[in-house]
Amino acid sequence: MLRNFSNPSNTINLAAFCPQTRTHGPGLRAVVWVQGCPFHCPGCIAPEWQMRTVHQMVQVDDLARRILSQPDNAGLTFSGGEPMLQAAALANLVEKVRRHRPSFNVICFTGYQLKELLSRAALGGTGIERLLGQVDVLIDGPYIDAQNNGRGLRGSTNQVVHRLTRRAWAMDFDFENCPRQVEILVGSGQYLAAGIPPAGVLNALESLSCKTPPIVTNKNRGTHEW
Amino acid sequence: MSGRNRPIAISAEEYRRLQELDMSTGLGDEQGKNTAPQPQPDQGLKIETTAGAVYVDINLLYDLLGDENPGNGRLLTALVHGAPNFAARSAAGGFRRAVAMLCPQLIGTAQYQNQRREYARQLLAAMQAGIQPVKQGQAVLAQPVNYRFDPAVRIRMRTAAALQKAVEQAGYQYFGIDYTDPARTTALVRLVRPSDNSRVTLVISQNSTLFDAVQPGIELSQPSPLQDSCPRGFKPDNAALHVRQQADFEIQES
Repeated sequence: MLRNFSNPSNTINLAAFCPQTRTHGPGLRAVVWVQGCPFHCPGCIAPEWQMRTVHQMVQVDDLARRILSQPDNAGLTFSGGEPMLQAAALANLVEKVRRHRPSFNVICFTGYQLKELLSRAALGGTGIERLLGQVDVLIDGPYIDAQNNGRGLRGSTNQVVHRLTRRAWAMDFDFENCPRQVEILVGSGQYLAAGIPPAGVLNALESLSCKTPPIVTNKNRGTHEW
Repeated sequence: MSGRNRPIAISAEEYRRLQELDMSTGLGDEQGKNTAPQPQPDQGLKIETTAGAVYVDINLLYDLLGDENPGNGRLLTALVHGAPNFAARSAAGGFRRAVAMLCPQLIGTAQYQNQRREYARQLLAAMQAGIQPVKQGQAVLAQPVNYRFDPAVRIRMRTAAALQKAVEQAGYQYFGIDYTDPARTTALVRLVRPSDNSRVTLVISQNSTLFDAVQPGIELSQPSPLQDSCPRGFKPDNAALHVRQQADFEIQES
């Protein structure tokens, strides 16, 4: 069952934010990872973002401001976590950003299938219909580890890349087969990996992962704002 | 689905040791004591700060960044206002003229040789803070500067070195290093895996947080050709961000 968080549509329960990267679609773009996911796919690269608990509540206005502070950005990618659980707030975010940058393109990952989302959207009340109306490219379906072919901007080949708008079809980007790339943003004693990891990278990074609490060197900034 | 954040294993003991280091110059010996010579007031370019004047040898910027870096001319323009020759001529010529005018007494001396790295580090710190020119031979920092290098920088370097080593063990090869800005406050260490052409980029900032570093508008340049694995101006002996040269990192087995 598709349930929404109780957070209002002007706040987002954020797992992490990257103001600029090249690893989540064509061109430079911001990435919003939301907290909370109902799928628990085996092999998920971000299990710590599955928990449906409050992690970091941010105002939509604040996040929009941070996204717009990057003049070179061409778009925005939603991932997580499961973006559809916070569809209303994310739709508001896109609307605010596009008020200033109408050409901004939006990519959204989801573990749900499009047909399921459409049927849910028809019932209204979740914001899904509004978010789908804003998204250019939807990459849908759960991650299936055995179908990870190591290529493209999708985790596994069962996931379908839906080009929902004319803008999406105009993108010169091979979502299905592009070589994978990851940016590892290095913090003090910790890192944030942005992108769909090529085979082997995750295990390599995992070998460094701490079994003890992270070293936080700048508590005032928060550990998940990159 | 498309990202993850993780702490990596730097021991608490190592973290404490790094914090205790005297980071006033960014240098330290094995015991953590600062062994770098301190600059003298009568040497080099005077930079006024709200914390008082510091003196840096502008020739050391040349040494630090290399004369082929196209950003050098702009940096010099920011440092030395009212000297059009510096900006109009090539970066290399401009630097030599700057040295000849501002600190000729240092050129070729043993004292200069001994202290140049320290000066260069100080100048780099000044650049990171943002410099506003006022008149020839002087510059004023836009904001107060703490010349102490943040201990977190060293921890980030160790983190980066550990990550790079791990990624290389997954079949990746060092590809090159790029910088997001002329002051080289953020380095992009690129690695590629020939078998599938996949890429990993380590994004390493010298600033207090990566978030701050990325905010001004990071422009990730396209990867250099393979043969250009040692980009222009890059000098392994003084490029603090070249993590492969950071051989002193320690990884705690997890």
